[in-house]
Amino acid sequence: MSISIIYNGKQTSLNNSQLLEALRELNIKNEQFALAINETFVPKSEYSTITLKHNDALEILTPMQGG
Amino acid sequence: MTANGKNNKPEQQAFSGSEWLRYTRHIQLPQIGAQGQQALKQSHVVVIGCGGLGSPVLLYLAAAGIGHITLVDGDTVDLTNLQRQILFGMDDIAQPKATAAKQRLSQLNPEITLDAVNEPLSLNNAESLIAPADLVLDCTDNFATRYLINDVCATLKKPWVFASIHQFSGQCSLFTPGDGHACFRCLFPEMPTGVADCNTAGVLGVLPGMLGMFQANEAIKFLAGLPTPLNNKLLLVEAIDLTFRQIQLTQSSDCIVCQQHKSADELDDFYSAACASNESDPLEVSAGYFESIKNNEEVLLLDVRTHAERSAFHMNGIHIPLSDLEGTISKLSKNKTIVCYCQSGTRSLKAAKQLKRLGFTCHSLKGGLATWLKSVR
Repeated sequence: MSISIIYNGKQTSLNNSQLLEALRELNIKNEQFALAINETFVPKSEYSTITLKHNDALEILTPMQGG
Repeated sequence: MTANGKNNKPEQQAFSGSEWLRYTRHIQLPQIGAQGQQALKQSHVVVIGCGGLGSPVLLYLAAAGIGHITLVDGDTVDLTNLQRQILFGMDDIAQPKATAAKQRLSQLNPEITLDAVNEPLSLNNAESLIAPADLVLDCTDNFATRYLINDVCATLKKPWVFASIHQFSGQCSLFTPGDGHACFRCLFPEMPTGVADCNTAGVLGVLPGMLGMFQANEAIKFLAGLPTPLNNKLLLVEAIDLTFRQIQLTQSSDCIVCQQHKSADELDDFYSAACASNESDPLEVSAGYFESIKNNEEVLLLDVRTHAERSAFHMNGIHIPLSDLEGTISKLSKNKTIVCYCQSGTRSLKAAKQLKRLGFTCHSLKGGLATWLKSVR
């Protein structure tokens, strides 16, 4: 079932609503990121339990080290 | 005489006349008042890193009258710092940052106590430096130190204000261990690798200024008992389109620090693994050796930076960006010794390794152009 979400600010269509499948579909392989759905952080341990809903805002937060 | 006139002991005063004048504009704020200003005066803050973030943080915390500030940095001031590290001037170049910062801050506010620690935060000193603090400010420029701050603050239940920056983007948060909120490891459980720092990726000079001021703002409010909305929230700043967003944080159920209560000592290998990249490779040559051979006829200098970097400054020789090297290698002659260079020595070492595998005699300039330029100036 196809689903439309907002991925890093852009409307994006996905074939999978299961989060782990969606990440694969979005080609997010690097594990060194944090993830937020609708401006709430989702710990890695919860990824397998999450199903994305229509118009969910999925955001990848990349670590930065400068100072 | 006291107000009730019962004895003639001198009445206790929170501030001297000069302090009272200095902090008048704070004391006038109903949300701070004399009580809040006194809380700042009685606070001990440890600022780890006196660079891009540390500069505005320290200037504002010292000006605000934080009574005791410990400054921790093992680095010295460099010309490339002055584009954003506004604590320092030309006279400070080559001076230890913590000492130079202390000098500048004691001119700004002689009423406060300043301790300069001219060494990097490490497993050896972290606990003793952080233990007396009411609040820690993370103004470091590397992941290893940031995780060390997180882990030690978790063990000692010390609140800390995090910020980090990259090019035009920044993040900031207030972590308060022990209250069930997320920690930095909940957010990023593993030490990221291959992430550029300011030295290689570049950074907009005002960006650490912006993020440092958000840190100072949360710190002052926290210590004065005012609301701190960044507690358990991550602020995301984009300086290009000037957007500000907040992400609600939540504790991770498998966090090795929050849930399994691992201490910094138990995680020793974790920090040292992150610093392993500082070791020398046999292909690397020093700036001094590079200077002595760079004009030899049998030496071919190879610049592996991008076209944009080369157009800003170069040292003659030939130019093949690292990304194009593989397709161009066959055109290079094996009669000469190839000495690769780039900005900081990382890409040139990759290039030299690639060339060596194909039978070339080659070297890489350790520390890159940045180190060589400093050594010959």
